[in-house]
This record gives sequence, C-alpha cells and structure tokens, in this order.
Amino acid sequence: MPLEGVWKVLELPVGSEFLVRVVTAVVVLAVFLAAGHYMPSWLLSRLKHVETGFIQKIGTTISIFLYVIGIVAALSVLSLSYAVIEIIFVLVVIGLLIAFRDTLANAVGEVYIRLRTPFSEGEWVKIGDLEGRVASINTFDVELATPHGERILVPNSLFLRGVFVKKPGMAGSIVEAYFSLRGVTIEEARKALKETLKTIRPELSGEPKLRNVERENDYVRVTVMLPLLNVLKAKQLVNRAVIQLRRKGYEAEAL
Amino acid sequence: MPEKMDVSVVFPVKNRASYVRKAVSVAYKAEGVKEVIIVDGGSTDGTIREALKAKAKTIIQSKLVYPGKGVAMRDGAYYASGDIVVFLDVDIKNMAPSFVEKLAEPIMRKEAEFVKGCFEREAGRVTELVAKPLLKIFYPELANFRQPLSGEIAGLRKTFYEVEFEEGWGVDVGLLIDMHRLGRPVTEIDIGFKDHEMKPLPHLTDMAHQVADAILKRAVEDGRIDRRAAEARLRAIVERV
Amino acid sequence: MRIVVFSGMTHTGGLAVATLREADPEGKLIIVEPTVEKSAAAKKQFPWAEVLKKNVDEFIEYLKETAQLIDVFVACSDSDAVNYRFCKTALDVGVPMVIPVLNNPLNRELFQRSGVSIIVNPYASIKPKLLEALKADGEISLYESLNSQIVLHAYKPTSRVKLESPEGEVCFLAVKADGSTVSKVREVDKNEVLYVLGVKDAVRRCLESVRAARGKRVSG
Repeated sequence: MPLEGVWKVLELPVGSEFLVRVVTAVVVLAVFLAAGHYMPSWLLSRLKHVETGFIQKIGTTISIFLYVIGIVAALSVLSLSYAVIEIIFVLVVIGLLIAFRDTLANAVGEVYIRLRTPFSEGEWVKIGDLEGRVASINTFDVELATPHGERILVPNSLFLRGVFVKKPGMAGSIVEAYFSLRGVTIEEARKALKETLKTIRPELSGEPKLRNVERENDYVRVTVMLPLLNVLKAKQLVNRAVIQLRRKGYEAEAL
Repeated sequence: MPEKMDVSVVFPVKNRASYVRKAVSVAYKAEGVKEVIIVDGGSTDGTIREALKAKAKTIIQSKLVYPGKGVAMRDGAYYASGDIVVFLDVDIKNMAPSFVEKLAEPIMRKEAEFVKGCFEREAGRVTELVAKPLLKIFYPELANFRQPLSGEIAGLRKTFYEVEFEEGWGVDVGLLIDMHRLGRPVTEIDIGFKDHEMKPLPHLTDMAHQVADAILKRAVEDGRIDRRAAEARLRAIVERV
Repeated sequence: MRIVVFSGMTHTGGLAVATLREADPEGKLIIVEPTVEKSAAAKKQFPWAEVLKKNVDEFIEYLKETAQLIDVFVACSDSDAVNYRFCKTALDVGVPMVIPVLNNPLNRELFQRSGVSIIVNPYASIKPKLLEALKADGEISLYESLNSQIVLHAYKPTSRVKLESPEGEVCFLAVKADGSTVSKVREVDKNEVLYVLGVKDAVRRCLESVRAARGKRVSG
C-alpha cells in the first residue's frame, strides 16, 4: 500500500503541513525532556531543608511525569486523532501500572513514611512478626536490623496496610530461660539459681527474677526472667549460668 | 610497582563555597581516591551545601575555634577510612588530580610514611623568617625542607593516630616534627605550580606566633632549649614579624 | 548492662562515665582509651570500671568482635569525627543502643542521618535556661523527653489570661510574682510564669488556645 494510503487509514495528515507539525512536536518534546532533566537539581536548590536523597527521588518522579506529558503533547501537536492518542496513553498507563504495581505501592509507601514520619532511621519498629531498628528507609523498602543480628528488607507497602509500633528509646526485652537441677530440693534450687544469677547480673539491664520453681520427677525446673537490652547474648549468659552451677556441683541443664 | 592503597582526601575549609565543588570533583578523579572529606570550620556561605552536592563526606569540626586548622585536620584524619590521608588546601586555583597522586605516591612506594608537598613558589614570610630559622637551630635534620609549613600533606592514616594535632597554624610544622620524632620516614615532594591566595598580613602575626610556639614547645620537650629561653625567643620572633 | 564508653578522658567523657555508673551500678562498664596515658588516667579515676587501651582501628575491630555482648555504646571523645565512625560501626554491627555526645551541636544532623536515635547535646540547656531567665514574655520550650512525646513549656503572659484546657491532657503549674507556686491554675497574669507539661500535641493545642485568649481581658 502506498504511504499516503497508510496515512489516510490511520487518519494522519499528509504533505508539508505535517512536516511542520513534526518539527513542532520535536521542539515541544525537547522542551519537556529538558524540563524533566533539570527538575531534580532545581528541586534540590529550592528545598534545602528536606533530605537530599528523598528530594532526588521526588525529582525523578516529576521528571518521568514531565517526559510522559511531553510525549502526549508532542502526539497532540501531530494532530493525531484523539482516539489514537487516548489508546496509546491508556495502553502505556495500564502497562506501567501492571508492570510496576508493587513498585508503585512501595514508592507511595516511602512518600507516606517520609511525609507523615511515623518513624525515622534509628527508631525501633514492629510490623507483624518482624521487629528491629530502622537502618535505612529506601525507595521501595525499609531495612531493619533485627535483635538477632540480621538485616531484613520490609517492603514499604507493608507500612501502608500493617500495624507497627514505635518503641521508646530504652526498649529492651525480658528473656525467659529454663533451668533444671537434678537431685535437689526446691529451696536448694532456688538458692543455687539466685547465687548464680548474681554472677551474670552485670550483663543484664535489670534484676533477674525467678518466676517459677517446680518439681518434675527427680528434677527441679526453674523459670528465670532475664531483662536484656541485647537479646543476642541470652544464650551465652544461660550457658555461663549452667557452667557456674556445675562448678558448684549441681547437675544442671538449660532447657 | 606501588602497592594498591586507598586514599582519603581531606579539605579543611571555612567559607570557601566557590572553590569546594571543583576541588572535590578534581580530587575524586585522582587515582586510588575512595573518599573526599570536607571538614568545615563553621561556614556561613553555603560551603557545606556545595560539598554535599559534590558528593563529599562532610563534617563540621568538633571545636569551632579560630584558627582551627589543626582541629579540622585531626577530625579529617579520624573521619577518614582510607589507608593514606591526603590534606590539601581547597582554594588552590589550579587544583589537579596530580597533586593528590604525587603526594600519595612515596607512601604507596613505601618510601615514606609522611610526605610534605612543596611547590614552585617563593616560600612565605612566616616560613622564611620564623619556621626555617627555628628548625635550623633546634631540628637541623629538618632544615632542608623547602616549605615546612605547606598545607599539602599526605600520611599513613594510622600514623596520624599517634600524634597530637596542634589546634591552629602550628599543625603543619608540628606534624612534621612529631613524625620525625616518632622515627617515621618523612620526605618532601615537589607538586608543581600552585596558584593560591596569599594570606593577608594581619593573619601572619597570629600564624608566626603559633608556628614558633609549636616548634619551641617541642624543642623544650626534647630538651633542646629550656623553657625560659624559649619564651624569650618567642617574644622576639613575634616582634620581628 | 554491658556499657562500652570511648571517653577520650575529656571533661564530658568523665561526666558521662560517672553518670553511666549511676544509671546501672550493678552493670559492667568498659572504658576504652586511645593512649597509654589516658587509659592509665582512666584506671586511676574510675577504679570500678574495666579500662582498655585501643586506638581507632583496634577499637573498630573490638566493636565488631564483641557486638553481640554490648548493650550500649557511648561515644564521648573530643572529636565528632571519631565518635561518628564508632557510632556508625556500632550501628552496623547491631549494638542495640548507640549514644554519641556531641562536641559541636551542628553535627547533630550528621549523626541523625546515620541512624542514631539518641543524641546527647551538652549545649542543649543553654537556650532554654537563658530564655527562661531573660525572655520577658511568650513561650519557651524547656524540655523534650527522649522519644519526643512529652514536653515541658514555660509561658510568660503579657496580660492576664484565662486558661481553658481540657482536664487531664496537660498539667499546669504557675509561679506567681511573689515566688509562690500554684498547682490548680485557672488564669495567669503578667509577671507570672505558667509551666505546661504534657503530651507534645496537647501542649501545642493548649498554648494555641492560650495565645488565642491573649488580649481578652479577664473580668475581676
């Protein structure tokens, strides 16, 4: 099919007038591309009080928006029929939304976190079963340093739907530890544990407490509450207590 | 073949917004540079903003004293994480990556642990009238340094942790003497032409006093002069300048 | 608690060490000093603490190796640069509580950006104390609790103001012109100081209402 026939089928204009429109469309596109290109640095110079990284992300978003508008404006200058423009636009938007639905939700999550500041870097948060100190707030996720020494990435979108708790600065934990001592009375077990706990007291954030002391066959089972700021050392402290008890001649185990 | 070592470049600055961006970007171009650090002495002209834009690590010096060059240099050395720390003045108009590379090279070659930069320019008045005569008397082994007060310095980061930094203008010569006292290999290297703003005259009086004080203090500690004679000499030097 | 302090044996460092001892007398306090002289001085001044001599690099390694045992790290040397490096390392290796003591309050933002949530600013009392003593009228922010939830403000009125605040949200105390204190405060007059303690938002709302009532003369 000749080229003019193709134009007619697509309802596109023909001749030198179309060439002028093409040039105009290129100019319009260039203007929007330039505006989009310089947007992040312009925003940086205007919003000095807001964190640089966040402004750069906002700037990038606005840049992309300007690029899209530029494309649409350029298409409209070409005098394509509204139907064609609308179809192109709707397809692009639907495609972007489908492809980046999680990404967009996470990005919106970051905007929520930054603007509403429900928490910031360094604070302690709990979301569902996940808990930890906020190491960094990123475009798509929040990095948490957990009490177990792990680094986990929580998608920002979870903070839009989930419930989180900000703990005060002095947040610590009470760790329950279980000991069993064979061949002793309840009173002897209580006394032995109290003396042993004194030796690990300097590592605790408060006084340890005996919660429950009960007999099970020839064992005495003792539940101990250990207040700890750094829960990572719980296992080491319990082991240290067991060694102390054994040195004193008790047949002791940590459960 | 020089050993591969990371370099941290430190610029002690105060109100040098117009220079900082170029200096940082040039420093990043030098070979081996892992970080550029701006230690700000309480600028009010947007120096920090410019430094951040240039992607420099930025900190404000711990003690805002005047002159606080030594405080800034100490903070820079502590903030740095590279194997070698290079200190440069930020207001060098012809700043080039070669300044950093030339200063770091003797350390990478393991020929020195502390390097002083000298340049193709007549040494300043304080150098000629104060530093050199005093070094000739009390530390003749350092008297052959052409520009003992040069702010272009490189050193192994760890060696900077072994010395006390003077707070003010005495820091450059103080470091030179301290490194020598510690037995670290020190050397001077020509870094070429340096286009640099000269200090105004009133600053030179303070500078002369502090440079002389830094040298004489160490001479007293090393038993090369008694305290009373050092004080008398210090007064005479300040009057001369 | 196992508290590790890099004190630098400064005046601030000494005060911090003594305070940490007071906070947990039964705890384990480890003071780290960079030089032989400073560690000897620390041993002499704080005989109840464990003192270690470690330079900057050695201390960073120490933090990495013992992070699982450390509850609190406090950096109070006289260099914000070295304090920053230590705090950053301590945070990265998972020390639960990291507290720098600032030398220059202008570096607060740098520490905040690194993720430190508790920052001690020794200069923080200068402004409220001077304003409380010298400012003739208006609001003065006196205290903000660690998690910024509880605040204490002072208010010096220019004329008599009737207080209309919901019960229970904030606590009022007033110091009268003759120096006496009043706890059940209904109104406050010129030359008197009103102290408002409460949750941040409630105190803000309360002071807004006081400002709005300003100028409305109270009869009697």
